[in-house]
Amino acid sequence: MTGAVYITPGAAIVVAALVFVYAWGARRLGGKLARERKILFGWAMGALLVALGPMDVIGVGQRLFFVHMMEHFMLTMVVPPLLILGTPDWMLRPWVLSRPLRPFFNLLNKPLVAFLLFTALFVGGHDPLFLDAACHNGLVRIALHLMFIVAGLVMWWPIMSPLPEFPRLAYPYQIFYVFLLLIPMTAVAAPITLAHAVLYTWYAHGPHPLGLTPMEDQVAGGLFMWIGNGLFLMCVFSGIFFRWIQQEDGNLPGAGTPRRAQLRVVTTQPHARV
Amino acid sequence: MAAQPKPIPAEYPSYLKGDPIGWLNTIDHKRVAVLYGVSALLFMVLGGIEALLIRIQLFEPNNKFLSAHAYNQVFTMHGTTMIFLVVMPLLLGAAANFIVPLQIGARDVAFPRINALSFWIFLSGAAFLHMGWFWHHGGLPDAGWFGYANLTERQYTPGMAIDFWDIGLLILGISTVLTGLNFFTTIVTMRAPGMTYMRMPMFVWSILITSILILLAFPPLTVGLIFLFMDRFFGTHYYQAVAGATPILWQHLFWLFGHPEVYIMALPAFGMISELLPTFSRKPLFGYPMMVYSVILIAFLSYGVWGHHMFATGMGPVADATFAITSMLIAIPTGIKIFSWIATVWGGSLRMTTAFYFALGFIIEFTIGGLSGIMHASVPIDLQQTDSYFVVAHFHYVLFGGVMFAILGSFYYWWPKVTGRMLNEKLGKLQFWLTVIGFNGTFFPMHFLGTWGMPRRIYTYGAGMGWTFWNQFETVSAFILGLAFLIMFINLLTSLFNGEIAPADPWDGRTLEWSMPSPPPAFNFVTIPEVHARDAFWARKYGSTGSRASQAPAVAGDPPNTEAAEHIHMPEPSFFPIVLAGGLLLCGLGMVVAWWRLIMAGGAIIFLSIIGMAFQYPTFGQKTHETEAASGGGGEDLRKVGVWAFIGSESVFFATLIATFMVYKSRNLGGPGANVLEIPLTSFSTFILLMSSLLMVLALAATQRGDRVWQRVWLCGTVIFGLIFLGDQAYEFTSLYGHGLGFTTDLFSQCFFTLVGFHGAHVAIGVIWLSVLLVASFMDRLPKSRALSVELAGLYWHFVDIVWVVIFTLVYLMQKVKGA
Repeated sequence: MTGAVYITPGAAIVVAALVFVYAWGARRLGGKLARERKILFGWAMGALLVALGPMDVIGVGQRLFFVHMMEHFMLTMVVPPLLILGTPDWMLRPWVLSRPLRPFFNLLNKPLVAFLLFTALFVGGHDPLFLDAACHNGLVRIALHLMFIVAGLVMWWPIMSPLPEFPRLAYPYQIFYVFLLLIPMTAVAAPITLAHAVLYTWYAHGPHPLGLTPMEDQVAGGLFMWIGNGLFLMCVFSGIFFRWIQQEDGNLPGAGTPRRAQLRVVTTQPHARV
Repeated sequence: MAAQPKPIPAEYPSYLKGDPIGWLNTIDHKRVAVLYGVSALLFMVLGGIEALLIRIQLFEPNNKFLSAHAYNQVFTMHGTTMIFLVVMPLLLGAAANFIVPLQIGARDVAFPRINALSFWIFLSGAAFLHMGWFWHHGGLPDAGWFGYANLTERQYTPGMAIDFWDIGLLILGISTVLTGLNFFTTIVTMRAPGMTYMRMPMFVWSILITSILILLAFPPLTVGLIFLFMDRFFGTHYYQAVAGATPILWQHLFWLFGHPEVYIMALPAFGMISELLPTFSRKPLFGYPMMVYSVILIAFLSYGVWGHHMFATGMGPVADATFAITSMLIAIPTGIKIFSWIATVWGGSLRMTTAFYFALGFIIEFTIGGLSGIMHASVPIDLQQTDSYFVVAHFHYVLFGGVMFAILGSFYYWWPKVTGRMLNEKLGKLQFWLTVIGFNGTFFPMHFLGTWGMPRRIYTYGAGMGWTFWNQFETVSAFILGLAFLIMFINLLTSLFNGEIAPADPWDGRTLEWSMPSPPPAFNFVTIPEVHARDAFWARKYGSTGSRASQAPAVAGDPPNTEAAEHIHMPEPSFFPIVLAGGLLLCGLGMVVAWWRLIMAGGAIIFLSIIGMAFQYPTFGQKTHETEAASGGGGEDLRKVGVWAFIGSESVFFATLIATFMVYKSRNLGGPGANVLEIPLTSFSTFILLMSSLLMVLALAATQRGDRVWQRVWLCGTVIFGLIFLGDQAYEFTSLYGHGLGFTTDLFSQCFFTLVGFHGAHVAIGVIWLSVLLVASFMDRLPKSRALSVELAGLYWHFVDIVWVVIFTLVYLMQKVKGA
């Protein structure tokens, strides 16, 4: 694996283009760009660079299927939320609310539409027909991976939208939405993990690093999607749930008392300061 | 808050008063709950006798008390009865039905007639399961409650018993899904003002999550049973290795239902315990948010663990490892719950009532079952334990030591509210100790026997195996357990006639059901209470949730407000539910005995009852519902929520059919396969269906602006387009038959026809639904104010269209592309 070029031109161009649009938008619209936003956007770019660079080189170039699946995980689950968090609302508003685009975004903001679109793109994108074509041809691959990022943005939007004009789902519905997302994940991961043959011709041939057989590699990839994505969504669910609790607790009587005091169950010193 | 003691209003008669005919056409949730409870208790006696028969047979080696065949029937019916006819009806039909509306401050469930329908369908399904008795070739089902294929195929189990089992479970499934739909909608839309999700009692939370589990877990079972039905009646080969299929498919479908089913039984029990412990410890539930969190997490995980029932089928190391990991993860939320319960009791001022005894017993016994459950999650250990008595010990500790203890505790807890009489505490405590002794004596030694290799489901054992002593010990203990139940029944009966009159709030309760008289009046609340805190009634009595203030509680009960009571419109009783269930019974019977006229008669009764129900508009609070929904449940109309929940359940149904098609499509192609599918024709169908969706949107718009003429035109257009689609499909099917693609030709054709045929049936139902609307429109009963009726039909219609787009893509286009 040594000696390979890890930053591919494709990755560099995509990241450069995004950074350019971001900087241009910030300068042109001239709103206040908080430091946290810049940092989050930087993280998004870093994650994108890692995914499209080294992960792509190892996952596709050196034919390690499970790394390729990790790349897809980064593109759908890590990069889009960071991008949404890193972009301030004033930078999005002129685009999203513009006359030609607004009805389109209105439609995308409906959770069912977002869910169905993501499911179709995510499940379809893992069909051997497309995935093999993407492995064989760098341009198709860039297109497929960009499509995954777009699908991820669509999927995360209803629960992360920074625009008050497009309000986020209420917390209980967010939880249900995340629960629904297990369906496309399982629909892709289960057939890959449980298949009796190597599904993708690209990975059936050629030498494999790390001494993995193509079959073991495929199973590892499927398992990563199944358990990795599942655990990730569980963490997302936990985050949403505890935000919800915080919001609801704010409405309970006695919300003004310090939160940490509530954690003390049995105390021997009733007047001890926490 | 209520400082002034208020008298209990005596002028409202309790829901139990009224003429006996009223029990047949009742749609009051409390009466339906009592009906459920009584029938479930009768089935409990039956299931208990079956259990004792098993124990008598195993008392000594080489026993001839039961033949092997009789033993198979007894253990099959013991399992089926206890799960479907005892535990689920007691938890959901009886307890949840009675308690949930009272706890959330509602007058009834969301769909009272469907609630009654659930009960009558349940009863006809339960009767159906036992009908084999009356036929010469019948007998009771004998393939185990899990009914593993291909033991259930016609060639291995000829007779009618499995037919009764198969169709009986389908009927019971309808009842359960309707119940789940009802509770889900009730809890989402009908909570009292101020009762946010985080103020709901834990029992309501557990029923909400259970309802979601029911809606999403029953479709795979339904699909599995339909496949079995087709194998047995129409000669398909869904589970036959000869035809290239795999019997393991049944196990996947069954356990994809079966493991969530475990939580469908366990979560309500968890909820009950979470009500009992705080009440008798006089402390709020410890870690309420974490309790809610862990219930949701358990539901999350329960869909990814079904494989741990199938380690021995040879799924391969990868799948085994996956399911082992996910199964072990479930220990985390369950552990959270156990520790929170202990912390709830810790430091409380305890009242040692029988109900509390059972709740404490639950924690201990259930934990033992949980620990042996963790052992099963480990693949190598599980491979040793599979099909041995160790497994029997494990799930009885979960289902009896866990769920049954919770049910028994709840009996003592809620009985005064249901009947207005107290149960005898002395007899109760005697029952508790006999239960603990009998239960542990029966099931704990099974751990040993299982480890020593005693197989389950085998009707006898050899004398030299060294299993005799513990088996005899278990049989004696089982009779002690039977004695405990006998005492319970004595206690229940004497309480009904002789019991001490129960006050409104005998336990110093925390939730709203204790704020009304025991037993409550038919309409529950005179004025819908307003909720300001978790433990709403406790807060009303003592002013704050946490304090252990010793001030005297205000006397329970709503203020007598006759003016308000006069304005309460309760729903009209209806005989349609019982008639419809009867039709279903006739229909199922006609299928088993293959008598077409009976099926037609039953079908006609069902059809007419549904139409009758559609036109018997509920007088029940259009107005009250709207106001309640607006204040409590986020403004969603309950019928809309109900249809959405139904669509969710249907989606899983189609997903299961599509997944089966994907697995089977390329196996054992004897016929022409996908080559004969006609893309041009089906593209036309697709176009027609999409256009019909457009017309549907126009029909809704016309209704919303009150335009009668265009409403009729667009509705008519939608119906016609739907009919064209169906006609196309009929033409397509005949042409496929002409090309040699028959229903039973190969796995591809049977999956294809099942999937597409079921979709066609849904289109047909949609057409009927829209036709009813059309008739209503011509009768001038579809004004602007009823636009929602059109919207709901539209939702269903669009859903059917989306399913078709998926089918068209996956079944037609993709197969054509890959075939070419």
